[in-house]
Amino acid sequence: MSGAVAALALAPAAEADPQVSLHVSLTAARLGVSIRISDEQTADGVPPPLRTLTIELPRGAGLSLARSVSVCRPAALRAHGAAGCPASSRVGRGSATLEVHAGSQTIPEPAVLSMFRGPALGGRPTLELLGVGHSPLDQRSVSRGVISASAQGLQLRISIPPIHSLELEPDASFTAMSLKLGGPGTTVVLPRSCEGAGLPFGAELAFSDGSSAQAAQTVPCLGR
Amino acid sequence: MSSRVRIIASVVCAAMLLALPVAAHAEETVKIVKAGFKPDAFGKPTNAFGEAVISSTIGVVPSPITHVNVYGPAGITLDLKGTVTCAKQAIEEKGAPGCPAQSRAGFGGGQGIYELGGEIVEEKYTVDLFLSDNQPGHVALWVYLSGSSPVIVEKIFPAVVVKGKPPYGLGFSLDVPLIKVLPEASDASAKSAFITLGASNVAYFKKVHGKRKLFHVKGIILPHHCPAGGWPIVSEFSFQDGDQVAAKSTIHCP
Repeated sequence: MSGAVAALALAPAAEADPQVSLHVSLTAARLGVSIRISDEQTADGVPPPLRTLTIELPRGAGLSLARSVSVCRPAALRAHGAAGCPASSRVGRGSATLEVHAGSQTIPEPAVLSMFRGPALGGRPTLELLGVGHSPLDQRSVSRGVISASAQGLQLRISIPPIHSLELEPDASFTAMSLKLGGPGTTVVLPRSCEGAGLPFGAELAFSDGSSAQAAQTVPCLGR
Repeated sequence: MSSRVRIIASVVCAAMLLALPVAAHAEETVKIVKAGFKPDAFGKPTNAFGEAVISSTIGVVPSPITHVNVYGPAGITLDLKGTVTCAKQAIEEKGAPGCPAQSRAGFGGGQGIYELGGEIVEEKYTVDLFLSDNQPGHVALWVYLSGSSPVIVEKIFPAVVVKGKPPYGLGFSLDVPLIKVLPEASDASAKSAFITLGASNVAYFKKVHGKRKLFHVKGIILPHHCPAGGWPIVSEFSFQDGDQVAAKSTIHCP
């Protein structure tokens, strides 16, 4: 199941909602998801702060975590960053770009993302997503992702807390996010069969102002 | 949250006392609606923030602001190690992006208001503050005020860091230039203003011996103690019509 990388797909969006593009890549036991967000309605093109990101995986897909993958406690992650959790609890990594509003400026802030296995929530597996940015503002945030069954197959729903920038200035907004799930002991299981145009993936985003956006992509069946 | 002290030009007061037939005088009011330090640990770097609402007892357009003094509590200090300055020419040529990140001193904005063609027009404005001098005892700033809709406005003017009389300490003082967005418009005024100063979590990368190193700017340092009743602050506004208003507030002790 290696070597399949799908092309960029732009999804139609409602006129007043932010615009989202989704790019999904599949390599051996790993899933890569890249999202770009913009907003034509704002002068600087920056969308409102993101509140939830839901990634839809096709039916039959799953995430397999070996016993060797330990659990990271969210409180430890919040208090100490990545150092607060065992290295064996890491299940993925990524990067993001946020935009910080300050005065007349919109200043980009790069962030490093790390994903850890979290404690189960009501029997459902969770992932803790640590974001760390250093400049212009040195800060971090922790978001929780819950994996559950959905109408399409499986979904990872990440709830993102408000990322405060400066007092009296708006919260920071995501304009790009890239996540790679998989690694030692962590395997992304793909459906046994692939029919038709390929494997359907989707992303649904909800923003702080109540707007939302969706993007979808069908990844061609591997080997075709 | 705030108490207000009104200082009305003595000539106007005298005229009122004598009950002479004088024209109605617009009196401005300033109310501090938010003020604080975040984080607020004793002796640690902080961001100072404040928001004020300005209105007039007559009409919807307050008289234009001509001068502002803002004083924080006694005991506040500045640590500007790691900062650089920005030249006015850089802002004139490129706007705020023309200044180095390490010269940023604060941000703000508010709602401007003016009269144009018999109509009241409101315009959102932003404020960027950059260090023009970072030498202890001579700290000065450039204030870059800009608005873009409905009319593009850009003004650059100086502010200086000053020391107030007890119970106040460091603050800043600035003359606000008259802002006319169009020749036929009235001088612009402000309905609201907010500002955040300092650098409690501001950091930037710098190359040291070829290696990229993260530097934290301390900026404003909170006092080591807090008087009973909290830290006093005051904002003094002077208006084009001669009115002067001092808006006082107290920030709760940590």
